Amino acid sequence: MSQTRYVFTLVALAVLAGSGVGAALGEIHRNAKTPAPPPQARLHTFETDSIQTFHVTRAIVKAPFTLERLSVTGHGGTAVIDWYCGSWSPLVNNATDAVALYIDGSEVAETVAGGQGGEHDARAGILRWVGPLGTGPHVVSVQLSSSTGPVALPLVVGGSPVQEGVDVTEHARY
Amino acid sequence: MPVTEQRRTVLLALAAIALGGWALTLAAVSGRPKSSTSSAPSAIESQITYNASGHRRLVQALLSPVVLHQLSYQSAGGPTTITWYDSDLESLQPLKIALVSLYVDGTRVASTVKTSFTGTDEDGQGDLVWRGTLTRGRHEVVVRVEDTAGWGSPYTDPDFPGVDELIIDRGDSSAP
Repeated sequence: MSQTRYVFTLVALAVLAGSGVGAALGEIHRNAKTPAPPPQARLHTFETDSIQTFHVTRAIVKAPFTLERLSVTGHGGTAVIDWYCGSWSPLVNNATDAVALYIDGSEVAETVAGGQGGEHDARAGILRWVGPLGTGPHVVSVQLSSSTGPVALPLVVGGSPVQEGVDVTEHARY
Repeated sequence: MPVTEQRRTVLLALAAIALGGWALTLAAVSGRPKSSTSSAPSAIESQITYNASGHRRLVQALLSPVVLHQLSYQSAGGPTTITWYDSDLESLQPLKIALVSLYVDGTRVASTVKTSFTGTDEDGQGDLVWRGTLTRGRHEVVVRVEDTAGWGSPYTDPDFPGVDELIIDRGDSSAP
């Protein structure tokens, strides 16, 4: 090997070695300074419900009337609470009726239905609330909170099954 | 040691240092944790039988029920929510009743009732929700309407889209 070729090879290898060692040291230093990221939180879903199926009309004479009462355990996530009734019908003309959702006794949402025609104003009832649910036990309740007269919750026709109930689905990451 | 052998040793040492350094770098980079996401598994199946504007599909079910949806659903088993939704279930005549029912494997499991007082002045959605448990396997899901007169299902005006759909959602609780 000639002297020139030797020096050239030596310089090239020295540069390569220096950059390799430098990159390795830099990476090691970066890893040491950067704290390891926490393990990716997993999404947990918890579902609790209370569903009733009616084959005859449930006529409620007077508000307030508790339709559903459900104990749930929160995990610090976001809850979607759905109340559903297959047929909500006033039983008197010129009615205004309200169904409200309560969490631990506090009203968080309300839906109103009414009409001029009494039983000719039947329709499905839906109330949905989304919000944070703290860790620990909670009581979710749904009430016919006000009415101008008797209300069918649900109105059943011909013995067909009509569901009424509340579903609490919580999504929590931890 | 001869000069040639000294040179070779120096070159080999430098080559080893270079290879080692880059190997260490590659090892450190490839050892970084990779990000990942997870989500609760769920299975959703839907069927839209109407999604158009400028037409009305008028259900005439005075003499016999009319099938709005029919779907063969492969269930993994477990809690299931089946929803029928119509963007405007509206009677064309006053003082009429519509009974929309959900059948699973031939059994009527849920119904919704909608009535009319004035007829076409009462636009409004149709909603039917069933929550229950399905066994593992294939199930026949049918939505039928039984009524006493013509209903828009959905009732739509020109240039406004309407939908009538069936949604099957197998909620999956990951609670430990």
